[in-house]
Amino acid sequence: MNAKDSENSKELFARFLTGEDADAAADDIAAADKLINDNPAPQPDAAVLAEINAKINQTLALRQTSKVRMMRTAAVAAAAVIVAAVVVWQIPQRRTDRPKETVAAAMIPAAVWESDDLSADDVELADLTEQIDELENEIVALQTAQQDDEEAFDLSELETKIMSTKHYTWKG
Amino acid sequence: MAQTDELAKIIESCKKNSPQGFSKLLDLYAGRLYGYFYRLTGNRAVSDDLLSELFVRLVEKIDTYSGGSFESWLFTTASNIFRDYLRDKHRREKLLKQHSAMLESEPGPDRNPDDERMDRLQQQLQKLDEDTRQLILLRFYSQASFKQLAQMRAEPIGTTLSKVHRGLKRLRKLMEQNQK
Repeated sequence: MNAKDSENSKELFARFLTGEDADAAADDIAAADKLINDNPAPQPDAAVLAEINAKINQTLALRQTSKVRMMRTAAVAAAAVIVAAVVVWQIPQRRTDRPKETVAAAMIPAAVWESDDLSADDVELADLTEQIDELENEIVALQTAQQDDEEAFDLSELETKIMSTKHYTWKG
Repeated sequence: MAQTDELAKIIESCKKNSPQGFSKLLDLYAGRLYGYFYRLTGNRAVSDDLLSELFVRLVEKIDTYSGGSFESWLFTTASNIFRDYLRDKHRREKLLKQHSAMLESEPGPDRNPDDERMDRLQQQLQKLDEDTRQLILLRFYSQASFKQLAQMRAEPIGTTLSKVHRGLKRLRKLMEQNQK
């Protein structure tokens, strides 16, 4: 039984009308209900119902498509936000890092960076090493020369001494 | 109770966007809803359109149904659709009146093809004022109690009782007069 029929209309009317009037009102309602019931409205055509079913399916499909589209849009938007956030976060870092990166790139050539023997692969360092070697040789040469000189000096001194010795020896 | 459980299952499947769910809902309520629209408009073509529009709206709005009497919710939606239709109709009529000179030779705005073969009840219902007709038909086709009806219309139960009683009494009188 539906809500309309299970309701006690006499009781309801009794809240607003006196006993007899409430009964009469309830009877009026019941009689009018019967009157409408005895004159049923036409029913929808089967073709109309089929058309409505088709429309329901179409609307459901559209909703599904728009849901997928919305989810895709949301995903793209979220990705864009993440990328934007990362870019924004990295900009100050790049600004502080940039001079260091630039200096490092200019100072160290690839040949040096990948080298196992820096003194040979770094042109400037090799040049310097050569110069140091030359200097070392010169020093050695000089030292040798000095030694030679000292020896020569010693010899000449010895000769002088010998000569003076000779001289003094001869003079007696 | 079994019917209520069955209805709950149907509503649940509708909320999951199941075409079968909506199809079952259509089978269950199409007759009453069509009767409601037909008795309000007296026009089969308009009733077809309104029923179709109602079910499209149901697909879109079924998620907003959050318990309580489903029939009250359904017929409130149907009532809103009819109100929208009436508003559109009045707007069209107003526009057509403004251009009546131009359209003199054309048929009226909402000429009712069913007018000639309209049944007696329909003819008498047309004589009631709009609000009373809506209220009587809403009660009959939604099968709502007076209490539910008052809630649907957001008015005190005493007002609903009085309007329904007065309207039905007048309808009976009109029917009796027509019979003589």
